[in-house]
Amino acid sequence: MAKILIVDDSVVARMSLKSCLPKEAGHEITEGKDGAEGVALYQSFSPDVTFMDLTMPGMDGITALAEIRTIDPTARVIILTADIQRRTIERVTELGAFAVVKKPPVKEVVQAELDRALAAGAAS
Amino acid sequence: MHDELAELREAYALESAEMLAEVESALLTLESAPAIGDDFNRFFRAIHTIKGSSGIVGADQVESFCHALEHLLVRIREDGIPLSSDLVSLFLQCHDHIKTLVVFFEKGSTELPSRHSQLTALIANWQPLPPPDASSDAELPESDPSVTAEETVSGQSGAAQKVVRIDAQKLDQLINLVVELVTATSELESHIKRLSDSASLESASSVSLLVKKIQERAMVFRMVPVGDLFRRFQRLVHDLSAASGKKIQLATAGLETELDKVLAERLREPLVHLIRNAIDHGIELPSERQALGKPSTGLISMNAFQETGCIVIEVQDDGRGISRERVLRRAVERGLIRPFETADRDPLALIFEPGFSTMEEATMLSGRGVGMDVVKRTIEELRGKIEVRSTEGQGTTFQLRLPLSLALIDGFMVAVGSEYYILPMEQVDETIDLPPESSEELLQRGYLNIRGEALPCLDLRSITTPDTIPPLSRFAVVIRQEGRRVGLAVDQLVGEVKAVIKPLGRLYRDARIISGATILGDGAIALILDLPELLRLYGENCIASP
Repeated sequence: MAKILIVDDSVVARMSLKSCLPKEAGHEITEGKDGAEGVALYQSFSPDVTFMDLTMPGMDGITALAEIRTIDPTARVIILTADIQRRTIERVTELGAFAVVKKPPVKEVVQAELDRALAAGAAS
Repeated sequence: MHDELAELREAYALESAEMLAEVESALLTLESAPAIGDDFNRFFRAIHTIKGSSGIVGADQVESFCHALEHLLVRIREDGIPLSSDLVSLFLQCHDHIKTLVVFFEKGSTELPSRHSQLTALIANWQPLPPPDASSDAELPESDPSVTAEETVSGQSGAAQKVVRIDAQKLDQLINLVVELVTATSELESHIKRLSDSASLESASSVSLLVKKIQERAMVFRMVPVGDLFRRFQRLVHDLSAASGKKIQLATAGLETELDKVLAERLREPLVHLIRNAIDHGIELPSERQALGKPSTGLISMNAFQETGCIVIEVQDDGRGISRERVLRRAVERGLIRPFETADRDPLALIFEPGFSTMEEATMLSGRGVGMDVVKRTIEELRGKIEVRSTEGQGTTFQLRLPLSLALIDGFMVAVGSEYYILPMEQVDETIDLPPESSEELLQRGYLNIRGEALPCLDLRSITTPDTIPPLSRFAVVIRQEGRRVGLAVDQLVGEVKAVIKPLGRLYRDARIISGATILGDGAIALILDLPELLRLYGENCIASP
C-alpha cells in the first residue's frame, strides 16, 4: 500500500487516472486541483508518488514540479499531459520529473510507471 | 465497470459545461479588450482541459476540434499575433461549435454539426494577414486597408501590400513623442527668428514643416474604422434578442468611417447601453408587432458618417418609440420636475436626467444601474453631444456627434489681455464688432442688442480678470450651446486654429472652465475653454439680466 497524490484541475482526468490504479492494492489517494494545492498537499500528505497535470489555473504543473523537487529532491513526480511537445518533455525532465505519461492515460502504462516509481522509492 | 464509465461521462458533462462557460466568459472579456494576457490564458487552459477530458471519455470529435483550436492558439501566442475582434468572434463561433459537438457526443449521434468541416478548415488555415480586399480584422490601424494603402511603398505595380503590425501602445508612445516634437520645434523656430540668421531660419522652417507632416501622418495611425466597433454588436443583439423572445436584426452602415482609436474604445459602453435600451424598451414582441402591422422582425440600425469636423453615429430602432406622456409622468414621480412644469420641458431631454431610470424598473437586459445620464456624461467627456428623436409607434433614434480626434481640436482663438483662449470651432456661430459704448452696456446689463436680437452676453474679462485695461474696440464671439446663442466678449479675434490638445498641468487643475491647453508657435500657451462648463458656472449672470 502506497500514498498517491493526484494533481489535476479536471475532475474527469482525476477520475480516469484513479480508474487506472489497481484497486486491490488499496493505495491511499489524495487529490489536488491546481499547482499550489499540489505543493501544499505534498508537504502535508507526503505521498510516495505524485501524478501531476501541467496545464492548470493559478500555479501550473511545471512550477509545482519545480517547487516540490526543491522541497524534496527525491520526490517522484509523474507528469500526465496531453501536451507532448518535445520542449515540454525536456523541460520537465530537466526539473526532475520521474516520467511523462501521455493523456488520456492507459492503464498498463500508468501501472508500469507507478510500479517503477514505487520500486525506486523503496531502493533509495 | 459500467458504473464507473457512467460516472465518468456524468463528470464529463458537468466539467465540459463548466469549461465552456469559462471559455465564454474569457472571450467576452477579450472582446472588449483583445490582448494576449490572463483572459487569453484562461481561454487556452479551458480548451486544453476540454480536449484532455474528451480524449478520456472518447469524445473524439470534440477532442480533435479542440486540438486544432489549441494548435492555432499556440501559434498566436508564440508568434505574437495580435488578437483582433474578428479572431475573438471566430473563437466565439468555436465555443458554440464545441458546445454542439459535446451535445452530439452525449446523445451518441454519429452525425456532425453542419458547420463542422467549414469551421475546422477555418481554424486550420487561419492566417494572420487578411487579403487586402477582405473585410479587415483590424484592431490595430495598420491592418486596415485604407490606412496601409497610404503607407505602402508604391512603385512596382501589382506588388503585394506590405502590412506591418504594431502594438497599439507603442504607437501611442510614438504619437505622444511626435506631439512633443511639434511643440519643441515651434519653440526652436521662435528662438531662431530672434537671431535673424536667414540660413538657420530657413532650415528651421523646413524642419518645422516636416515635423508638421509627420504629425499629420501620425494622427492617421490613431484612426480605426468604426466597423471594428460595430461588428461587436452583432452577437450582443443576437444573444439579447434570443433572451428577450424578440426577433431583431442589426443593420450597420458607414463601417469604413474612421474615428480615433481611444474614442472607439470609450464609445463601446454607451453604445452597448443604447442597443440594450432599444432591445429592451424599443422593439416590441413579434406578436405585438404583427398586430400593429409591422414586420415581426424588429430592426436596429447603427450608422456612422462624417460631417464637417465631427463624426456622427446613429442608433435607430423601429420599435414603439418613447411616450412623452409617460416620460413626463415618471419625471414628476421621480421628483425631477414639478407637476406644473410639465408644459415647459422637452420630455425627451428628461431621459438624460440623473435619476430618471432607476434600479427598480430596470430589467435583466438594460438594468445595470446605469442610466441614460451616464451615457450622456460619457459622450460629453469625449467633447461630444447626444440627441434623441422619437416618434411614438415608429421608433427612436439616438444621434451622437463626436470630435474626429481626441488629440486635435479645430478651434477659434481669441485674446483677452495678454492671454489666448481657444473655443471649439463647432460651437462658434459668428463674430461681431463691439462698438465702445456697447462694452459699457454689456457690463451693466449682461445682454447685447444684435440686429434687434437680445443676445445674452458674458464678458470673458469679468471671468479671467486680466491686469491690462480693455482696448477701445472689442469683439464678441457668438457661441451656440444646447440650441441657445450666447455672446462672449473678448479683446481680440485671432482666427481659426488646429491645435494639439495637451493635458493641463497642476496649475490649472481646479480651473473647470479650462478643458486643456495647447502650445502656440511662439511658445505661448493658449487655453481651451470648456464652454458648457463656462455657461453652467457663469451663465446666470447674463441670462437673468434683461
